[in-house]
Amino acid sequence: MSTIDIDLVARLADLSRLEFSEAEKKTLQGEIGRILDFISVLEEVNTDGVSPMSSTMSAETTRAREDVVTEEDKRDAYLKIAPASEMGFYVVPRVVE
Amino acid sequence: MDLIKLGLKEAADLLKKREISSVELTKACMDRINSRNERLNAFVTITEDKALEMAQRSDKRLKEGNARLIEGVPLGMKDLFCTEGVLTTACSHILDGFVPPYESTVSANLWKAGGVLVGKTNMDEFAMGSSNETSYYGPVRNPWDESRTCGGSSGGSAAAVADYMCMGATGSDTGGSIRQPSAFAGIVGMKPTYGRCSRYGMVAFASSLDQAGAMCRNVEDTALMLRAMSGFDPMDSTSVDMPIENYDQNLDKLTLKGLRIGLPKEYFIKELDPEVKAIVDAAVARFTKEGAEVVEVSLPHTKYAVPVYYIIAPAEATSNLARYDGMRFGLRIEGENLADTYRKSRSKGFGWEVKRRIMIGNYTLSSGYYDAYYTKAQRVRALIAKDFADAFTQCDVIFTPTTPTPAFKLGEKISDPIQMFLNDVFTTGASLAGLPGISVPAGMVGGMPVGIQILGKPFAEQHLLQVAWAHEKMTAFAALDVKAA
Repeated sequence: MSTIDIDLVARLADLSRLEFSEAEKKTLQGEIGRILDFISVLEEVNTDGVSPMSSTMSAETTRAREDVVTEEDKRDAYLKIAPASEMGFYVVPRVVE
Repeated sequence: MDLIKLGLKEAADLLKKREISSVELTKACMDRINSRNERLNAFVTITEDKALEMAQRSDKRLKEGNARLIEGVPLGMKDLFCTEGVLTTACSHILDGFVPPYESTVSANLWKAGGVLVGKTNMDEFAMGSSNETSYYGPVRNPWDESRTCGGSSGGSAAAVADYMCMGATGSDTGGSIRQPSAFAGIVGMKPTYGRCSRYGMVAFASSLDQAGAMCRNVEDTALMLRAMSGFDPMDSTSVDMPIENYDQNLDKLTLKGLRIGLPKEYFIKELDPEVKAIVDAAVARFTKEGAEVVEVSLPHTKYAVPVYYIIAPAEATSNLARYDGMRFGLRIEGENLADTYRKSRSKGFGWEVKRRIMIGNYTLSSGYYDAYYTKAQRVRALIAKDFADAFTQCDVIFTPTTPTPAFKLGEKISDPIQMFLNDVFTTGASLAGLPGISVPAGMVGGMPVGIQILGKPFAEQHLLQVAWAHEKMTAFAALDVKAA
């Protein structure tokens, strides 16, 4: 049975920019432990000499495009859907204290 | 004539002959949606005004003789395809009020072919789920039995098509999200080869797996819709620059004699409902009667596909979902400072399943565990892909059940993530290998539809559609008629 320390749950939550109640952390601890058990079955597979596969694409099926600007300027349209904007900028909470 | 029961191709033909108009067809679909959606929850946004506007424009083109491929046909669009000027939420609270200033390539292609948008369909939040129960807007109910799931993540699209609310709908498939709901709803659903459809403007879940596809009530419609939506797109470097065949035109050009059907022995497991197995056997028998050959093949790493998927998909999702920070679009919950605002917005905006997957993704990607989980999963992914490549040296197509059982009850699996994951046991392999797959209705068990999955070689969409079409012709049904339930 895989276990994951409750402090690690808190650390992961912080890294994930998520907050949980103590009860939720306990639930996550259990669920993550069960999922780690489930995925740990991969340990039994011999992968010596097998390269990791990050994509199913091959060089024959993809090509590079010219390095040119393709996006049109839609600044106003993007700012319009922002939670807050002013004078052509996104308004965000103070970044530098 | 019952307009809502017309197939996509049938409707397109009648529109071209001007026996019906797009406005009357669209209104018929709207009536159906308005009378049924409250029960089924298939659509999360209904675009009645836009639909009628598009239908009027189509009627004008039809009148002028400028009709395009699917001119005037009403379609549903899964809510993870960005639609310019139309709310797009991926059924997540965090995308509250998000009205994209741009159109996804897949939807743009369908509009360029003359499609009419009737609404955005319900789905699991960010496509993470197999039952549509993780949607912020509540689950879709299966039109065959409202106490049951219609599958996920493209559950809304499956229900909308099965319940005659539109002639076809888009889906997206990361680990089975088109094929499984199609099977549960008794319709046809195809996930093409990774790279066939552009991912531009499609809300990202797991970028090396996500692929758009078509869901319709028969194979010919699916072929036509796929033809309209796929193709190379300079905006997505993983879309392939290969010609799209006229899939719907060549369906009868296949000789079944000598077709080698592979049956992977690892797919016929103890969890497989014996009645579902009998349906697969019957489908295979239809082909052998016509001269096809059965080959037993082995995909030895099958049992690792779901664990590999549940490492790779959350890892990629963790990165993709980092963009939701409450700053540029969607939900913002003000906190005491910047980091607190991120935390509050994300905690309020994401549902439990999504949060858990972000946590898992950050765990398996963290420096101490990266090689043990993420790299290991990528290596096993390579072995899974090789299993398929080896099998396809011995057979032309692979037949499997789409799911181990027919649609399960709402609430039955949602509290147990592992049980929910195992529902994807037959579909994740092809996703990891990037292969095309189609689910077609093949029978009924306990009053619920059952699908078989046909998998093919990379970019063999045309061949798969021909095999699926042949099966449809040999059975008494295309999509199963929901009213017969």
